[in-house]
Amino acid sequence: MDIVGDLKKSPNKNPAVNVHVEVLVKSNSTAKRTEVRMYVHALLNRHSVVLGPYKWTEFDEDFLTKHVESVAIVDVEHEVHYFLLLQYLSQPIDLKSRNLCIHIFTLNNDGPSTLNLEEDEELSAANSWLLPAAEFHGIWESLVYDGGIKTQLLDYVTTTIFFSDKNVDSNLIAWNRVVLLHGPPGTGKTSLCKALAQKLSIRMSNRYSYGQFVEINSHSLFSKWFSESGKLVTKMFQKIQQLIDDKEALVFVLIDEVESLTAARNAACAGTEPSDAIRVVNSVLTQLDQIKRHSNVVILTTSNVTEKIDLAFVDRADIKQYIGPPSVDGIFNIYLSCLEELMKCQIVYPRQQLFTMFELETMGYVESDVSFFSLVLRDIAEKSKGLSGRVLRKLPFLAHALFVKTPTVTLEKFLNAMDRAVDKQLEEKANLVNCV
Amino acid sequence: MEEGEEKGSVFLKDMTIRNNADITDNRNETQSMESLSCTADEEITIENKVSSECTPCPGSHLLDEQNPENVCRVSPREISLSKTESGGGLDITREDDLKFVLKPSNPVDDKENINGTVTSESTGISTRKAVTDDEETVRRAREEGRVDVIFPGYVTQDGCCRFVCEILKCVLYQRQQLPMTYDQLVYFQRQHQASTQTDDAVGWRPTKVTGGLDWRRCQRTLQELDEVLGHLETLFSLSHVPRVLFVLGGSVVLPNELYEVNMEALALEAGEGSLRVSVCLRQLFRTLFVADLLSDARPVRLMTTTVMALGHRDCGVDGFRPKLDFRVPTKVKRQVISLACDSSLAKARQADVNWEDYIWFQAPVTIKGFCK
Repeated sequence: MDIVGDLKKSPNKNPAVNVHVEVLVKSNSTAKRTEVRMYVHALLNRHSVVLGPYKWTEFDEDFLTKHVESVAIVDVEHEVHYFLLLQYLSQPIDLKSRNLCIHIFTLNNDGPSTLNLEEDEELSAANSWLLPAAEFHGIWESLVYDGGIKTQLLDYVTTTIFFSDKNVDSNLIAWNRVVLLHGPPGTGKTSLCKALAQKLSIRMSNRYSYGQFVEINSHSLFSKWFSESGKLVTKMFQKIQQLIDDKEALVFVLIDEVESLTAARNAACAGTEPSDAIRVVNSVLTQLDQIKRHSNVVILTTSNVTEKIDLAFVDRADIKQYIGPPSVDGIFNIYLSCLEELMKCQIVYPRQQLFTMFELETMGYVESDVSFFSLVLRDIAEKSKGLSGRVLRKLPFLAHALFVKTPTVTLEKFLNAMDRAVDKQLEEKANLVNCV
Repeated sequence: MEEGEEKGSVFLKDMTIRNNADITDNRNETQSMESLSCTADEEITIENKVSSECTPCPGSHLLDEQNPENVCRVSPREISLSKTESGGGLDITREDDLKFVLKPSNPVDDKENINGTVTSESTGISTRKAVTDDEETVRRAREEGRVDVIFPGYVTQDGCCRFVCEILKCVLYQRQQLPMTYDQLVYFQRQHQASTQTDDAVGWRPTKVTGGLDWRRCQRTLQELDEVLGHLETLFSLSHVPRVLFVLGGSVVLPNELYEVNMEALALEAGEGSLRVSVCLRQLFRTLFVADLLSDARPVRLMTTTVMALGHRDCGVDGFRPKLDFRVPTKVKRQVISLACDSSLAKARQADVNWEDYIWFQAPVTIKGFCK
């Protein structure tokens, strides 16, 4: 049932593909995990055929209603996308023929706790979350990328941990546990890091009893005292080391905007940066080398300006993933999820069926009564190309604020408002460029 | 210094009155017990202070030498204590105790005297034995981070709840998360409220008023603490609670400090056959202060305190959040206060407990410390 076990099975010429089932147990439930597992198995036996990802939130059984928030079959779309694209509609997933990996978890409601470096320092040097955290729930689903970026990242880290489990000699085959995500602002790099950590802590719950997510405030590593900065870095990593020492924990270290830490060396050579800053970079690099030896740590970094990052650092990253602005398909999906949410909250009323891009494609984009709104949405999506993910997510809000102004609105009017909001955004963007 | 003295003594007098009133209001014990238990309780609070801060037990001597400031901080209260007591005419032996305390003399002498009075009062074991016992307690506390309190009979479930609550209050105060003891804070808080209510017409008032305390923070901390205590009471009424953890600072998996109250070896019995709570509390705190488990000369930063309790899976408690995956942190030094009953009593009851059914619960509120 656990992931390591499943990986072990794969060389046995067992063609069964893993299907991951995430079971979110209510936070006030005291039921034994084995019991929950039993009931979920029974549920999946009753509904053994699903079309793509599916989520149960209501159950016909008292036990599940009482203890379980949701049962979700997740991350099968990529597989569908690659292997079964043409037969997707005709070939649903039969759970009985698959390896079921059931991951049972509860969310931690406590907010972040802070790591302080100096006794009298009010400012915290890092925030740490206990995973799976309630704050990060749902981020993974909300992120839309093309080309299976999410799955690649997931597979990368899974392999990393698999290699460590198998005691692969890291001198012969080197892997660093460092991921660098770069790209323009607002494309969800930081969110992706959080979501990835959350996802992995759920996936690995059989191997590690909990996850820790440490977000370093990189500016806090620079001391006001000359020559103290390097020591601060060391102190910070000592704290992280304490977390790593617990072999039950899977630790994710996020260094956001990593260029602020590592851009310094070149500048220092040019004489525009004090030599203390070089020490920080050197210290970070050596400390990273130190902690990456441990099998239960993953270092996630993000950056907007890749050219500025220290080469020595870029070299250390195993995966340098570019996260670009979303494509039309991605934009369409984002809008779709936004509209679904608004319809759920009854701000857009009455509820109307919207098709996914895939369904539209199979229908050949034929205009009809049922597909009319979906096609309008696709036009809006096409128009919004070039806007960042962050803007896209707030667009429905802007549309409502600027052009709707009534408590409930029909889908037609709302789409019209969104269209105008997109125009306004593009105009603003153009103005901004002109000013510069 | 003199100002503090003044305040302290006034406060303590009032405390006496308040305590009496409180007990008549809240205590669910039988009428006949009330007068007895209230004096006993008071004695305990006073004795706590005496033994915690100025009894010349070996541990605190060490402390005194290392940190003279600590003694200074304490002394006004202690002096005022003697004033109140002699004024109120509460107890002559107690006053004697205080004389010993205030008199700078040979520490060994003092120890013997103190121990003599206390033991003859409560347990009646010979003085010699008590001294060696105390030395053992101190050694254990210092080397193993463990204090054993063995009660000579059965205790009630209510009693366990009281023990835990009092230890929590004590830990918060001793670890410098509260500027005064809980009872003092409550008293000052009420007094403050009364004074602000009378001249409400003034309108906006600065938050820092008399005594230099930030009343809003004080109120918030007290509220949080009261809430936690309330939740603990509910949990104890619903389930047997063999262990309680106080997690200070950091996160639940990697705290700065960790205290455990272990009650696995307690023999519970309701009703007549059990020991009086006040007697147990006195013994508990005496041992605790002799062992000197909670004092640390270094100044402590303000932290948040989380309470975790082991309870039965199906007890149906509402406020607490079950943490099925929680494991007691092993990376931090854990200070254990272990409560037990005489081994002859305890053994018979241990067998029928299935530990699999006991899971950790986390209190829904954390207590944020405050200083001034």
